[in-house]
Amino acid sequence: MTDFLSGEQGAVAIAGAVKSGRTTAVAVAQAALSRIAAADSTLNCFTAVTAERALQEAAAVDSAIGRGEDPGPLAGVPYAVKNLLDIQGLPTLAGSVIRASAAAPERDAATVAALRKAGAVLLGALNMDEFAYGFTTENSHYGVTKNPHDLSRVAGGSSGGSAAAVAAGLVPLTLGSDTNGSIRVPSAFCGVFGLKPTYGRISRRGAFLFVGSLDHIGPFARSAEDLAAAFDVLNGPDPGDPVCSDLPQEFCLSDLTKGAEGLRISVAGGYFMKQGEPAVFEAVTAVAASLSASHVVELPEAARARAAAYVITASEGGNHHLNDLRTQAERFDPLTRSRFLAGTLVPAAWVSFAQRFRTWYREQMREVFKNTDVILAPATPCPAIRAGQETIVLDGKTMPSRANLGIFSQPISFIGLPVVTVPVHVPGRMPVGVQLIGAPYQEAKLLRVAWELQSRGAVSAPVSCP
Amino acid sequence: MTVLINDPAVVAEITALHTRYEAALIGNDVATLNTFFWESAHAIRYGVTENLHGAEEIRAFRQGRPSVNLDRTISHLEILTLGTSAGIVNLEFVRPMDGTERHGRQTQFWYRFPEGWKIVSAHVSLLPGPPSYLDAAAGQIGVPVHPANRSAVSDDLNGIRNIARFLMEFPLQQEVEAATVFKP
Repeated sequence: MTDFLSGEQGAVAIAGAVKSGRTTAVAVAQAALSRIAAADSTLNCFTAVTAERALQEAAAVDSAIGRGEDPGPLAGVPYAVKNLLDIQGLPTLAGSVIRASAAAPERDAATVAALRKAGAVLLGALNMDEFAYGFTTENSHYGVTKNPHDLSRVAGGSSGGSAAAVAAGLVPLTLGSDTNGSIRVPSAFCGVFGLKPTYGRISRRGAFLFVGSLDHIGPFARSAEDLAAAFDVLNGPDPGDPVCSDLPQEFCLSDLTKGAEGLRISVAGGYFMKQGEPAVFEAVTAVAASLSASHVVELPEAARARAAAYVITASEGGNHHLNDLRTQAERFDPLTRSRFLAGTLVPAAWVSFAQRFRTWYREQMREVFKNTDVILAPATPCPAIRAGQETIVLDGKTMPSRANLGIFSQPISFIGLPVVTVPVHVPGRMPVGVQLIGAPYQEAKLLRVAWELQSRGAVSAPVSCP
Repeated sequence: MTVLINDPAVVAEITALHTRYEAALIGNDVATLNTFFWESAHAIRYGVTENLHGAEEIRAFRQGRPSVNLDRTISHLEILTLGTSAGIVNLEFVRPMDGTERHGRQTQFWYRFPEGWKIVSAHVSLLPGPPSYLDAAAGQIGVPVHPANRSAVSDDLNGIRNIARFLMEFPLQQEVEAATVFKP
């Protein structure tokens, strides 16, 4: 019985145990609260723990089971969310102090509501870079979230709390957001699975946006099946999000065991084979070998796609905060302040060009996907950097670290392609991540490949709790 | 009393000193530059961004100055000597700064001490330039950039500019429309 109370357990296993009466949702929630109490003062994943709500939600799940009702596919699964997602009654900080005094939302974000409806149990809100503008979760207001695999290193960002909480086994499932890599970078750094869905596939209603043109919400977990189980309840249309797709809800979990059978898998060449440390390319090679994938595809003008994403991010991000930058710029995190200010001043000529370039690049990538189903690429140029590390050396060139951690993730999210990041662990080394990139709305294929790799032992997300 | 104005021998001496000073300045040859100023608490150097009182402050400034972008072109030079112990160098120069050409001027008063010619006081200033893009845009958009943040904002804007320039080099066809997210 106690097995289901350990931090090693995944979401699907917990839901099965809760539904079959081998454990209770309340016991699972209490065990998660104990793990958070024991470890989070060290890791700093949580900015709020919603213990009361968790125990109420868990009790409701147990009551439903007692009445013979179906509590949902994620019955009793503890989860937590990046603190830019609305939680009823709790100010949505988005990593800032400016929003600490904002009115608490009257309802949950669409994704939080969907998980609740599926029987999952909310444990709290998670740390992030201020307003999601960063790749390290070094937050000057709420502290650095530490990497569970090496406490001197960052968890990655901006959804650092989401990745670290899963890596440390505090909860088996979390939600984060990804604009330029904010799910994929921390997934890679913390060695967990992360899903950035197709743009518009998962509702962003009730999320405090960073860059509306590029923002996605998605889950973190320690296995392909947990990621699929979460995606299945999260995806689908929502009139409350203006960019949410009208495509009907899709269910991937039951198809996972089809694996990589029949899928054409390629490795991204050129841009994605330069400017990285050997460890990240070795991981791509290992994953490709496991899948017998040898075909190399070029993603045309990927460097310019990254540049265009950078320009749109600066401008839209800055404009989103225009009022606060006018009246209370000094309350921004010093790590984001000057970038947001600079973003307000970006000329329209660059932004319009970047948005038009997006159309061109999308057409090119549609051509690429005529001949392949899944493309492999590194998630980051290096494993987790140390807290406070200002530079990284890539191809012998010293570069600012924080601005360059997204060089491999930005050209992909720029046109909203779905990505599953899979974790590669080599003993004695920090984990690294490999992006499985798909055509729009092909999350199911990516999850199947992730499951295949997991079955073959090529990828895994072992718990590491200090 | 008649004053000896622009005695050719004295003018030649000051001209040679000016030439050496200019070479040391552009090359940021701090050791040589330090030999020109009068070794006295009365020495003054008003720079474009700094007021330096006394030889010690002048030396300290030279020592800490980054040796980048010091090049300048002299557009007008006037050397005046009065008697055999006083000389004034007035010059106008053009210097590239932050991507624009800035016009400046410099005045040096030289005096012949027992140990040789030394600069007693100097003044450098710039004519008002065009407003920077940062300041102009911040003014138009109504975003005050606090002086404490200005340098970091300028660096970030330059970073975006460099990335945008690379993007804008792409030969995008005119008929390509923006990828809109607006659904009416």
